[in-house]
Order: sequence, then C-alpha cells, then structure tokens
Amino acid sequence: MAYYLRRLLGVLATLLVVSLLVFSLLQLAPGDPATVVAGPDATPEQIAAVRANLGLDAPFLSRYGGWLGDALRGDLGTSYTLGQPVTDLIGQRLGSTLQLVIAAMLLMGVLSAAAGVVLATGRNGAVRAAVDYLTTLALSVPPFVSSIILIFAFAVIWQVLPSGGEASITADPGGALRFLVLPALALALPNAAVLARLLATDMRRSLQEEYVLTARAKGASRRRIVWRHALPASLNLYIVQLGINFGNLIGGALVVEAIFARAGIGGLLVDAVTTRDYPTAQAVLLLTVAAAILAQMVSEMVIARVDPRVKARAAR
Amino acid sequence: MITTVHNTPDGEPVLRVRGLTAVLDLPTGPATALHELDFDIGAGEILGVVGESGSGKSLTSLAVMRMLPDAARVTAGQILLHGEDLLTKSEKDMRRLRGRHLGIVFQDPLAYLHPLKRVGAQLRESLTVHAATRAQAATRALELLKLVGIPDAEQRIDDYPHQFSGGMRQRVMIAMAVAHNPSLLIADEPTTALDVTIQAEILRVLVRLRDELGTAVMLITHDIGVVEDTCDRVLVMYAGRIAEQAGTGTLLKSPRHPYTRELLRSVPHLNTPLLDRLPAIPGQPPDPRNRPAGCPFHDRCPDVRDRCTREMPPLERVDADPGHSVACWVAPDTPVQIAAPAGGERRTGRPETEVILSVEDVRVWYTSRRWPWSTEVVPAVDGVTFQARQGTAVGLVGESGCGKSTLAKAILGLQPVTSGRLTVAGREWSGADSHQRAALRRTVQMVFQDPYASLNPRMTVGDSIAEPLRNYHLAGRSQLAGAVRELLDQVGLPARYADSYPYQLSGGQRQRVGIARALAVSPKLIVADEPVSALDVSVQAQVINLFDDLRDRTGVGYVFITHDLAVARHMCDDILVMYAGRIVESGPASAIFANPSHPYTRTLLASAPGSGLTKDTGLKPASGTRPTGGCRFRDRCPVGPAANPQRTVCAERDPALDAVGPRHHAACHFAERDDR
Repeated sequence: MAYYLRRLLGVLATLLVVSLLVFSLLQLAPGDPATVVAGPDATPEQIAAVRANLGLDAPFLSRYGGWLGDALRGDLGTSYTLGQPVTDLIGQRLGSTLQLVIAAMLLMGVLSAAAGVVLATGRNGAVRAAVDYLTTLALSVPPFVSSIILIFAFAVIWQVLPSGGEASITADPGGALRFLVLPALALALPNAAVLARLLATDMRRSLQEEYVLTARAKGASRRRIVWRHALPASLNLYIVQLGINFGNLIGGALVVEAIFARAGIGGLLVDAVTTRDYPTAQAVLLLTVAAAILAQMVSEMVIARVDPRVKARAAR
Repeated sequence: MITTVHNTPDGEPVLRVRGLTAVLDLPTGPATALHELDFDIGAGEILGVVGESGSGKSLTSLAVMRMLPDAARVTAGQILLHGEDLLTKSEKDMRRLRGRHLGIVFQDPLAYLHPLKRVGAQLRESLTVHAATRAQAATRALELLKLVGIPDAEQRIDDYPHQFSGGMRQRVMIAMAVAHNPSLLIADEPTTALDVTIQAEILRVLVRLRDELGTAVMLITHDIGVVEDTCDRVLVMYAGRIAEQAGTGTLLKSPRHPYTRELLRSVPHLNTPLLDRLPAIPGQPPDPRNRPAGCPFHDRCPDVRDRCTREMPPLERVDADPGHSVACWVAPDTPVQIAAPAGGERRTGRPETEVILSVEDVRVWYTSRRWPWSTEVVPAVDGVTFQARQGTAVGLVGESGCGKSTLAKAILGLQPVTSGRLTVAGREWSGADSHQRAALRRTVQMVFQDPYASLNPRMTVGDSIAEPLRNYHLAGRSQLAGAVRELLDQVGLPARYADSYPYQLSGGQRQRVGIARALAVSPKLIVADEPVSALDVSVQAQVINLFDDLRDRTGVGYVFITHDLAVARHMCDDILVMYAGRIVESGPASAIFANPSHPYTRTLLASAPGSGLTKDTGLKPASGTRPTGGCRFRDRCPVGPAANPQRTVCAERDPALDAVGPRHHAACHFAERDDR
C-alpha cells in the first residue's frame, strides 16, 4: 500500500510541474489574445481594456495561482473566443477522442502481443518472415501517411468503410464502430509495431533464461514454456512501453482526428492555439499530459502487481 | 499417490552410458566436446563428476537430460536409463521422463527459479505437468518442502524466490527435482554459489534423499572436498574425456592419472601441512576448439612421454581394482601416493613491519528511506578494529551478509564510514578532499572476483593496465609500453598479451591482468574480494602463488576476502572472522586454524568441504531477523542459549573481543582458550 501511495505522491508532484510548464509556455509564446479578442480594428485603448477585462495585466504568478486554484475547483475558465466555459467545450468533444484512443489502445495491445509472440517463437519460418516484414512496414509509416493509404484502400477503392466522420456511440454503436476502424488502425499500427519488436526481443531473451531450462527439466511442453514462463517474464517491459505509447496515441489522435474529420479535442486545441485562447489551450494540454502521466502510473502499478520484486526494490 | 520407486533388481545400474560422443558446432567448425564416455550409476549411488570448465561435465548432464543446447549434438553412443536408450526416444517421450524419472538441480537457484512465480506454484507445476490433479499437487508440494527441510513450509510456500535465502532456494530446486522420486538425480554444482555452512546443509539433504529414496545421483562439482564428503565413486573428466574413474577413497589416496594427482596436490587443504608454495599445474585447460593431439593433458603433464604427444590413451582398467580405470600411457606402471610434495615448510612469523591499514571501531550503517521522514538503519559493519601490516595478508572470512564486502568497500574509500577511523598508509578517507582522495587511491587497489566482468571487453590488455598509469601521470607516452611490459612480466604473462583483448584470454590469465592493473600504481595495500573463487581449480594454485610471490617481492599488503577457509589458511598471516558486521574472532592464522575459539569459527571449519558431513555442527539455521543486544550469534549458536538455556548471559551482555591466547581474540562468553 505504501508503495502505491508513494507513487501517487510522485505523480501529483509531476502534475504540478506540468501545470506550470503548460501555463508559462503558452504565455511566453508570441501573440496577444487581447488583440485577437478585440478584433483587427481595435484601438490601443480598447485592447488595453480587453486585457484588463481578461485579467491579463496581473503579474504572472498571481495569474498562475488564480488559474490553478480555479482548476482545482473544477473551473477551467471561459474561452476567450467562444465565450463558453472550457469544461463544456471539452465535454462536448472528449467522448469522440476517448473512443478513438481506447479503440487504438485495444488494437495496439492485441496486434503487438500476437505479432511479438509469433516473431519470438513462431516455428513456421514463412509466417515469421511475413510478420517481420509487416511490422517493419508498419513501423516506418507514420499515422498521417497510413491514414491516407487506409482511406484510399478501404474507402475509395473497396468502399467498405467510411472515409471520415463519426456517429454517436450511444445512438448507433455499430455505425460508430465502422467510423472508428480506420482511424484507430492508422493510429495503432506504428505503435503496435514498436511494441511487437520490443516484446519479441525480450521474449527471445526470456527464452534463454535459466529458469526456462528448469521448466524443460520438469517436463513442461514448449507451448507451456512460451506462454507460462517466457511471456509473463517479458510482460514487465511490455507494460511499461504500453504506458509510454499511450502518450503517443493521444498525440497521434489529434492528427488523425483532423484527417478523418472527427470532432475531437484535437481540433479544439488547434483552434485555441491559433487564436491565443489561453484557457482552452491550457486545459486541453494539461488534460492530455495528465492522461499520459496517469497511463504511465497505471502501467507501473500493474507491474508492481505482476512483479513482486518491484515493490521490494522500491522499499530498499 | 503420484510417486513411483524404481527398484533395480539384480544390481543393474540405473544409468549406463556407453561410448557417448558429442560435438559442438562452433563458427570454426565442429569440435569434439565429449569423447566416448563410459560410466554407470547404480541405485543409491552418488557418482562425483569432477572437471574444470570446458571438460564437458555439464554437457554430459545435459546430454543425459536430452537438453543439449542447439549448438551441441550427440553423434554416437547410448544413454541407457533402466536399459532403455534415451537417445532413441522422441521429444514427447523425453518430456514424460524429464521431471519424473530424471531430475536435475542447477548451480544458481536464483537464476533457475522463475522470478515472478510463487515457490509453491513452481513446485506444483513439477507435479501437474505430469498429470497430478491440483489437489494432489498442493498436498505433495507442501510435503516436498518439508522433505527438503524448509521451516514453516505452510507459510513460505506462497513466497516468491527473492524472499528466500540462497540455501532455501536451492532446497526448493531440489524439491522440484525429486518431486516424483526420480530414478536419477543430476546435481550440477549445486552448492557452488552458497556459503560453506549452507553448502554442508544442502549436501546433507542430497545424501539423505539418496538414503531415503534410493536415488542414483550424479553430482557435478569442481570441489574435491565435496567429492570426499559425499561421493561413492568419482569420474575425473579432462577435455571431454574420462581421465580416471575410481572409488572415492582409492582416487583420493592413490590416483593413477597425473592430472588427478597434480590436481589433488595443488588444492590447499585444511588438514595438510602448510607449504611455502602450492604445487601448481602449469598452463590452462585446453580450449575445446583447439585440443592438443594425443593425450589432451600431455602439454601440462610432468610425466609426459613421447607416445603421449601422438596417441590418445584409451580408458583402461587398472588390474588390481575392477572399479578403477585410467586413460594414461604412463600411469598404470607407476602407482603414486599423495605424499607431501617438495616445497618446504611454510615460513612462520614475519618481522614487525609498518602498519599500512588501521581500522578503528569502524561502523558502516546503511540507511534506507521509505518516506522522507522515516529511516531504517542496517548496521552492515558494526564496530570493527584491526590492522594490516606491509608484506602481510589479512583474511576476512564469514558468510555472505556478514559485512566483509562492505568493509572492503570502506577500505577502498568507495563507501563512507558512519563512524570510527579508517587510515590507509597514515591518511584517512573521511574528510579527504578530491586531491587527497586521488593520492589515497594510489595506495590501495582492488582485485575483483570475476575476471570476466572486471575487464573492459573493448580495451586491450595493455590499455587496461596502462589506464591507471595514465590517470596518475606515472609514465610518459614513450614509457607506457615499457611499463606495461614490465607489469605483465611481474604477473607472469608474456609481453605480446598487451595487444590481446580479454576474450582471447583464459580466466586465470584475465585474473593476472587484473592483478597487474592493481599493481600499476605501486599500491601499499591490495584488497582482493574472492580473487580465485571464479577460477578453475588447476589455475587457482597458480594465482595463489602469484599473490604470494608479489607480496614477497614488492612488500604489498593484502586484505583477502574469501569463503574458502583452506585458501585463507594458506595465504593469510592473520584471520578475521566476521559475523553480523562484527569481528567474532581474530588472530594469527596458525592459532585460529589450530585452536578455533569462537563457536562460529568452529562451525565454519566443521562445515568446510572435506571435513566430512556426518558430524552435526549444531549450527541453527539463520532466521530472517538478527537478534539485537547481547551476542548477535546466540540464536544460531551450538553452545549458546539455543542449546543451553541456562546460558542467559549471551542475551544480556554483548561479548567483548577478549584475548584467548597470544594475539588471539574471540568475542564469546564461552570462548575456548588456546591453553585449554
């Protein structure tokens, strides 16, 4: 228990640092939201008034403190440009991104685990070579290229899946899934390829470990050795990487959403940054970073469950 | 019940190996790894297999298990288990035999147990893969843990391997191997990674299981003492061949093969007179890629004849003894006795030389911090005082975890001391600035245990040795090569090795390089942590002699950390016995080995291999927590309150290190005096 509590304290500290970074980075970027809000024909006096109105003339630290205090109470501020509460804006779009990331995460896990085990232990040379080739291909094509290839193949040539858009997951689950397949695949493929390689390398190493010899000496079958001995031993590294790649998925999702015309938080962020809409941009950035950090924390906690030595080591 | 006992009527051996030949597929082409091995193991018999690295002893065991690595394959011969040839079995049939009729225990139990699975689960797996039900497996797993002597088996069964001590892990390995009462149990260096006291316990477990279950045991070891204590018969392997085979008593007393004879002579023993130099076998065991023609031992053999260089001698029966056979052209005509070889009596007493290391009441406490506001203190070294003089060797002995390595680190300045004074050549580590520390580092150097890991594989031998010279600007660019040559010469290596890389060298040669590197800055003190334990037996003596020579030649002082008491007795002038961070006994080696005073020292000596396993030392197993206050050893002590409840003083008062003889001290309320 103490182990998890210590990890949680660490995460909270990291989040605090991140919030300061997010806040200051945007403010340091050139451009003034007051000029955007006041419009192109505004006089300097009008801009100054808008600035005072938005609270931008207060000292940096007091603005940060105020924002952080509000954020902790659940108030992320009001969008400068849209005039709506940021929490509402995010709320409207979060579901779409969440669906995409979760679908990609599942695909990534399944594809990488299957490909990794085949690469490490497959006894059919041709199958192994094919998987090897496909992972290399997936590894070298970034999501914005694979998206276009997938759209071209499945939406333009064969016309089996929609090229873009989305449907409500509650009203039309089947339709929503059809819209999800291509973007989730585009997002998952390069990450899955990295993970598969990693798992394969680590499993090959695990299969060389001495305890595998012990298992053979017991009379265990090869299948048992692969699935019950080598795979669990390699899951550690795999889970860590899964947590790290979750961050990649979120970053990639913002791009893929644009290509597949999905109304997720990616579009919100791009608009907010270009119009210097600090409250919205800060909130979206903080949210995505927090999600990535939390994913890593979860992966570390899973490892602590899987590998009893982790906790013992941390306690030392 | 899922156990089966295989009786062997009419004395048929359990395992019969005939003409076993195996090759290793190396990048340079196939090389013969095992050459026409013939041997038997009967039910209830322990066959010792002795040999150095590359002799093929582990390969033989893996061949019997049919678990050879991909690069090795059997090309001829038969491996008959109860008369059935294992070499003709399918992999599926072998799977049924492994774990059931064939059990194996490997050297390093931590590596050979799955780190993420509970001990109980791993034990149960041994049973369920051979069709035991879960319930049967659960019952039997607990039974097995008790059989191998795990205390509190009910509680420990759900622990993970990392929560077990080394000896307990090895017991678990043995439990898995004997889960089905196999007809043959192979133990491949089962005690090499363990402390002597634990080693004796594990060997006792093996012998007991043999007695109770009638198992045939193949015990692979490099340690003659282990053979002496446990084996009925011995097989001596050299370069993939059987050099000699005989009953243990015969082999130890009147070996025929020059290799066996020289090997027995070169190993320091606790009960033989001390010699000035060990009679070492020259050279190294041959590389499997490049074995000499004729007898593989001929280039190291003192009795070599012309014929030995051309023709390979067959393994032939020695006429007088049906159980004794030897592969040597010379041996059969010349039975030899292991008499005290030439070399002279060991010099005793050295002139009082300058004190180079002074340790005064040194404590090293490790603090671990779980929370920023709370700390936990582990006293690794707890109030140690001793001195080392120039040209002498101090031996630090004790079980793992006694603090000897931490003390060594403190002497080297790698670990700050918590309190006390540690002075090397008149200067103290604590409070020294970086300039003074650099100067101190020149006076004390280290030789490491593992000659493979302690040399940078990407640096030539010459560069490794020259590095300290460069760091201290001790030799200009033009002088470096000469200085390196001189150092190589000092450790007995030809100058051409300067351009070699570590992988091109044997273990013994690498250790010589490590010594040369330590000598480069002309230190006053060398700390050596188990410097010969990773070396082949026949090479150990060479390196021990080298240490002796260097001391006599350069006047350097040594602090040797070793678990091998016979080596400590041979090499060291003074001995410090450590237990739980303290010195429990100190004094001249002669006094300590002749009259061990502290009960802990006495159990260590009684547990040393070659001392026999029959006598019970009375040592209690270590529990997880050490007692605090009073004597730290009392919970395990054979004469303390655990055995004699009326001796309450042990828990009440901390025993001081009191004199029990001239320069001989022991920290025990019931210490035995030299003049007893």
